[in-house]
Amino acid sequence: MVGRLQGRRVLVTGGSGFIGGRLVERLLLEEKATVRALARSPGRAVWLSRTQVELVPGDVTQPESLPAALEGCEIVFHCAALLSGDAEEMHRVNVAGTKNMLAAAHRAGVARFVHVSSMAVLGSTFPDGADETTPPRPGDDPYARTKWEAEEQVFAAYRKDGLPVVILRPSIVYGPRSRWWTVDPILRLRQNRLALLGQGDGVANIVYVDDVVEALLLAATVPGIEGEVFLISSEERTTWRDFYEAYARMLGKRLPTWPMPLAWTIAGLTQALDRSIERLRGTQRAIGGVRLWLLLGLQVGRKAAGPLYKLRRWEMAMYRSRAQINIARARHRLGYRSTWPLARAMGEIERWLRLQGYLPEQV
Amino acid sequence: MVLRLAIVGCGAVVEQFHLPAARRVPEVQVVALADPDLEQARELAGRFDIPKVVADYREVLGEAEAFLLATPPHLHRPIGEDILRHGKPLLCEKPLAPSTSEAEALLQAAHEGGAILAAGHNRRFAWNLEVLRELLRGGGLGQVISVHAEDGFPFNWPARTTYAFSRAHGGGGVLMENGVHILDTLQWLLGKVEVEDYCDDALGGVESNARLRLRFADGAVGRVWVTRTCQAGNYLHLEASDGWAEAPLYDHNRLTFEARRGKAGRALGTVTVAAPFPQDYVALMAAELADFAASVRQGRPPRTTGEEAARTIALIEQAYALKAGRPLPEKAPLPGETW
Repeated sequence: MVGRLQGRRVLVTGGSGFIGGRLVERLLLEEKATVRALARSPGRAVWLSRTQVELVPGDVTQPESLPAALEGCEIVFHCAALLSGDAEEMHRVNVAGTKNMLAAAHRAGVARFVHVSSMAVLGSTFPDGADETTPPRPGDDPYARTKWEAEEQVFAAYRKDGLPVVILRPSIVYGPRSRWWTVDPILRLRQNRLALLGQGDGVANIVYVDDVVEALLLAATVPGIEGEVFLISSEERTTWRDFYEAYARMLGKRLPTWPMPLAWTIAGLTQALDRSIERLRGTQRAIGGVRLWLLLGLQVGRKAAGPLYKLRRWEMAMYRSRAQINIARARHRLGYRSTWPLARAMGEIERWLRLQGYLPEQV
Repeated sequence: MVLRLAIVGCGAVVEQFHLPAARRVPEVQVVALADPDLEQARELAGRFDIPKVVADYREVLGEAEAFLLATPPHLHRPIGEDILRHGKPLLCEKPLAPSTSEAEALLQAAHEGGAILAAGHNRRFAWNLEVLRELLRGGGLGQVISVHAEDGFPFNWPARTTYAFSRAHGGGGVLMENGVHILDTLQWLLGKVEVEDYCDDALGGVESNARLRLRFADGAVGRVWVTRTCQAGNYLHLEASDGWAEAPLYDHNRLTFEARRGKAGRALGTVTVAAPFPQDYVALMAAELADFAASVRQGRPPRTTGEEAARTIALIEQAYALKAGRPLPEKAPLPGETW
């Protein structure tokens, strides 16, 4: 089903990013929409510059830049978000930025505001499974927390101003251009810094980027779903072993396995090491003498943790969880069908990784 | 005698490379900086001890003996033509111009003004490529059969304008902005070349990945990939009848080669040679500037002439022409996939 947005003007925030970038490409080529993207800085437009997108200088954190971008737009896809970094900055972009976008969209009178949230608002694990009725438990992770606070802003705009909003909560999104879930696994495998924890039989709640884009297009066009939230994920039950082994096979490597209790202990240690290093670095005085040696020692220790370097306890909990999120509502209300099971998606990903030089060219 | 040089355009390349390079070239004195953004020009002038700052290059046409033009490419023709017609030698940053017709206008102006036109292809001063060129010219590797080059990394150039993403200002995408280097290098090493096939990842805008199939006049074939979305191998690999050679493109101080027929018929095995005096990137720019100054003083052609640079622009136009007219794909290809 293509051409659903033919001739309609849409605005995409986060268009230089992974999901927003793919959305722009498909909106232009397949949906024949007139697409505008908010451009924070010209240097980031390297992917977007390939397309006929209209770049409008602006930033979700600068409300005065938004009216021009929204002028004449019927639909807004709000994909812009910071995934990591300073907690305050994440709040400024993810929460305040969303609030700015909502206010500007309301003033511009848009017909649909599609907000990209995340499964992360439910917390890192949900032992009893999860659907849209599961109460959010974002915890103290800054990304999850700011994405949840952003959702609260979206709901408020719906209730207070009657803004026609739809919220999507994708699970872990992977695919071409995904730093965390596609490029990093390959780079870490190449450096022997990726291991499977335990049996790898935890359930990977993942979704291929083109499935997310399809869900975004449905969220923009299906009538009568304003004010609703939808979890979006693959329909196939996939384990972390399936997921990471697909990458390992591309490199012709075997995935090493770390027993869970050992992994748990080492991850705890690396986290403690990180905290100590931060504390040592945090002081204003010059580092010398014993403290310098201590810092060096701690850093060597952290490096020695190998594949577990930077692994957090919440991640380990995620790798152990057996619960699959339930996407029945997206199926029934949106008409969403995942068309990218793991094998098909990994085929495309492998082709992309070769094209972009992350894997050797096939002779 | 010191060459009194004015620099037109005060963007990133001038700040990071040309001004630091000029400090290393005693034959050149930068006497003025010209940029409509006077604040930026003043900032650089203060930092690099340049006596004069002007908004318009025409204000210093009298006092400068020669010019370095480093504006966005769409301004090369109008400004360059004027400078050359005043009989002032010009070193023009790459790409010489965004189109063949504009490049030819510059050549014409140089001819009429009787002024030297040099192009900023600094890689011709890279130690490893100079050695490779000598090796090839001396016949040390025999007949070249094929070349393969990969060039690029994720875009991180701190440009002050968006010319690199605009066909109107830059003349194209990554092929024009950065691919122009490798195409110049290949012509310099191997002579005349034609584009046999071309594809890129542009979807109605400008390309960020481009792949070319080349054929050289002596029959050798070439494959080139340029990118600004990912880390390429960044090497030039060359297979020849009597050996092979490989030069890294961003480490100018190393060259690896194997000459199967060394002196007295004995094979040399694989050899990696390293520069006795390693160059940084500024050193390439300094060598380029010194060559330009010498060509002005001695009245000899510079290492990269305007004519040679114009041929490279023609080659890029030839590539773009092969893609023009192909209808946009109905389904979005993979990001970066060329078609």
